[in-house]
Amino acid sequence: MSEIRIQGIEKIYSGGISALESLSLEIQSGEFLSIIGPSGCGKSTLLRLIAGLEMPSRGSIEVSSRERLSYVFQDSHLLPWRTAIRNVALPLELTRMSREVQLTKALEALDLVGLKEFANAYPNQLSGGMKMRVSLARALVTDPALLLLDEPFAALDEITRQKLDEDLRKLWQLKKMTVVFVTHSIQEATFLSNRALVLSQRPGRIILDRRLKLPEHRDLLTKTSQAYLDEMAALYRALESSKKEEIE
Amino acid sequence: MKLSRWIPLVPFAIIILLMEFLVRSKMIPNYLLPSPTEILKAFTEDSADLWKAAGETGLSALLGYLGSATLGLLLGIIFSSTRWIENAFYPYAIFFQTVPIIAIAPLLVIWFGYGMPTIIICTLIVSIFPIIASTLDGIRSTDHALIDLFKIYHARPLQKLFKLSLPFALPQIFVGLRISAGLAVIGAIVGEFIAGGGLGGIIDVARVRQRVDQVFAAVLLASAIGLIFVAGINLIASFALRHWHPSKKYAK
Repeated sequence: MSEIRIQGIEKIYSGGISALESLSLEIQSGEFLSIIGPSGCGKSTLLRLIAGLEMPSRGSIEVSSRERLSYVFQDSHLLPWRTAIRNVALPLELTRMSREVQLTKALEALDLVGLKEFANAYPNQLSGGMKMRVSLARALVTDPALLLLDEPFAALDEITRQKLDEDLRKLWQLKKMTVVFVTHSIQEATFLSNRALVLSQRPGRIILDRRLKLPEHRDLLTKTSQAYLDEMAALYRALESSKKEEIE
Repeated sequence: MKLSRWIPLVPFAIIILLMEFLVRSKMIPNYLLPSPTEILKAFTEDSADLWKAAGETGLSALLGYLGSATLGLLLGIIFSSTRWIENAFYPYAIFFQTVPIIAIAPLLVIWFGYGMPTIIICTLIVSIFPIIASTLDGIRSTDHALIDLFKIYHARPLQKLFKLSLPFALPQIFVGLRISAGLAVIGAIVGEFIAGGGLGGIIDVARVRQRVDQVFAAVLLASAIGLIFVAGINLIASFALRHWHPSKKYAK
């Protein structure tokens, strides 16, 4: 079943800057798709279009679970005056759910990301990685069918990032949701996803749409396997070819 | 308590001693500058009048300040809600910042009579603009990612205002409130110059009678009221914003 169907979309911003050009894409439900591309290639724009935060200038986007999607931003973007659990409960609060149910669900979500003991901590008492986990819990609390992430771990250190990548994959397997993950890291994309999309320089077009042949279970050792290196090489080659086009 | 906290008292003591010396040695005549002992005498001789006046000034300033805080916050919110309302009315809000209050105070007396109502309105006019401006700027600078988040979950406008924009603007709103706290006392004193009563009234009368000691005593009390206002708002701000700044309780 297809979760997202994008047909010939274009996005032109005021001032005539074209972010995306005749892009078509179908994403199956339950997929883990990564979108990679040089900065400014329109990959964030694509995510915002899927989320309905912006409208395409041309073409159409159908998202079957637009009412059940969650979005994770580049930084944690927590509300500093709320404790971790009240931050996580925020999306439920906006839908007028009873306070008790809100907090139970929020605590469950915090437990999923391993921060149950920090429920009553304020964001300024948490480290960068922990804040990002709270942000992830806030996205999961509504039990989304579609999770959109825009370079969520880019600001974190390598070790924290690896840990969060592993956790995110486990959560995806557990929740059986569709994940669209925007990143500029080829390593991260290869490690996380089952399908990877490489976009060209602006205006973004799809250069490569590849199913990754890697085992379902992945950990740090996956990164030492030949299959992983091969997949990464394929993505690097695609990025390189887009650069050449640019010069010609 | 640390020694460095008392450092500001050193220049204070030097100035006091210098004043006393300059006046006693008749280098400066005491109808121009009173000696600190004379000021102290004015305090004790007229203490009943001075404290009563300080109470009046404090009350007018407080009421005017509460008025400008409420109205300023409300106007800031309204301006932030719609661009055309801001464009249409914000220039008139700037009027409050630029109007020479001493020039229109007589007009206020004609409209509202002598006494407290005029003084309160004076205070309000002088102190409202920083609150409007800081509320408006604070709400306008709300984190865009969070605005998107609220959009994704279909938050209603009032939910967005109370759960996001207003709390987010709080640090900025307090900047405005702090500036206005000092201005409120100035507004009340200026109002009293024209409409009578309070410390402003005492200063005005003492000026005519060439009693510089009384002027100084009243001025000191007026700035003390201003300090109390600012200290009060600082206390409220540090409580309201206690989660804003990094603390290291759990972080590893």
